[in-house]
Amino acid sequence: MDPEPDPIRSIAKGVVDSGIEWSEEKLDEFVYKLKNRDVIFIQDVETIDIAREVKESGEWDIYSKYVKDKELKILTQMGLTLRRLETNEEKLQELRERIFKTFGDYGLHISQFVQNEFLGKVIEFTFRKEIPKKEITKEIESLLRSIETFTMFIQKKDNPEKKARTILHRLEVLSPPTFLLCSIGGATRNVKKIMKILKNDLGDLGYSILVHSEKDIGAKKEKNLIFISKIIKNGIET
Amino acid sequence: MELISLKDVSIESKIKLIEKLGYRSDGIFVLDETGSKVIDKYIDEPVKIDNMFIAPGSTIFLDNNPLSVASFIEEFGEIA
Repeated sequence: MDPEPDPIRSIAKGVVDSGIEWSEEKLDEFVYKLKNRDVIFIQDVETIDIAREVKESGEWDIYSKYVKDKELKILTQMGLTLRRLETNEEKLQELRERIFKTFGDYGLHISQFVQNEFLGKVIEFTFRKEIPKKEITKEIESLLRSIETFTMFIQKKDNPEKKARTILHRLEVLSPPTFLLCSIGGATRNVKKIMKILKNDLGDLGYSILVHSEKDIGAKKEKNLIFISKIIKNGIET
Repeated sequence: MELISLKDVSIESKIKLIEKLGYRSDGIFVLDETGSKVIDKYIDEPVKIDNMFIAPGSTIFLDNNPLSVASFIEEFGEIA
């Protein structure tokens, strides 16, 4: 019996190798095609299918007009991809972990913001501000980049008083043009409690509230996005 | 451009393919000519022989995951 020259490869072959074998001619043909840029090899074709679907979607067509930064573009596409993977818990979790590993909490939060359809509302809100076209991208990207500071994802288990205090503190100290509160499903009750606590103080600080609530027919969960934004009178922030 | 799935291809054939491209494998990872693991530049992780994405243009090796694929498409354009 001829000895195998590479013990590791032979172990791998013995344990897992029961797939299609390509002939030398086939391999040479593939190498030729690869060098001529005629072929791509991929473990799972579905990965490319989903990427294409995202890039060809109407939603991406709109987002790509206003999200120009390279990193934000990728994170936005990941958000749309997360949404498409919602029926496959394993792949969904894998991608979440992948995004977190590469971009941290910040990246994951942006992707999840997009996944939960909040970015479209932000774009709509930005249009309503009647700012010059060239400022729209700046405004939207600024909102996304500051997601860790000026966006809060409210959960069912959160303490409304604590959250309200944190929001007020950030508004007082940092004075952002916009602060976003997001919630899904059962967390909405918590958001209502937070807004009740904040109501009077927001006016004193020069902020107004715009609530966007959505429950699609047949949708599993209600989604809420609250814009706490600086009141602007005669083009000047109050 | 033709898309070829590696899902049902034997490890041995995958290894032969990358050898013809000037690379090697230890049975788990893709290795360059120096024996170092080839790293997916978008996620900064080594590429495994059983989860590859191989694209033309200085033969790019990536991990088969949505983030790497989307990043590749953003950088190099649509895979027609």
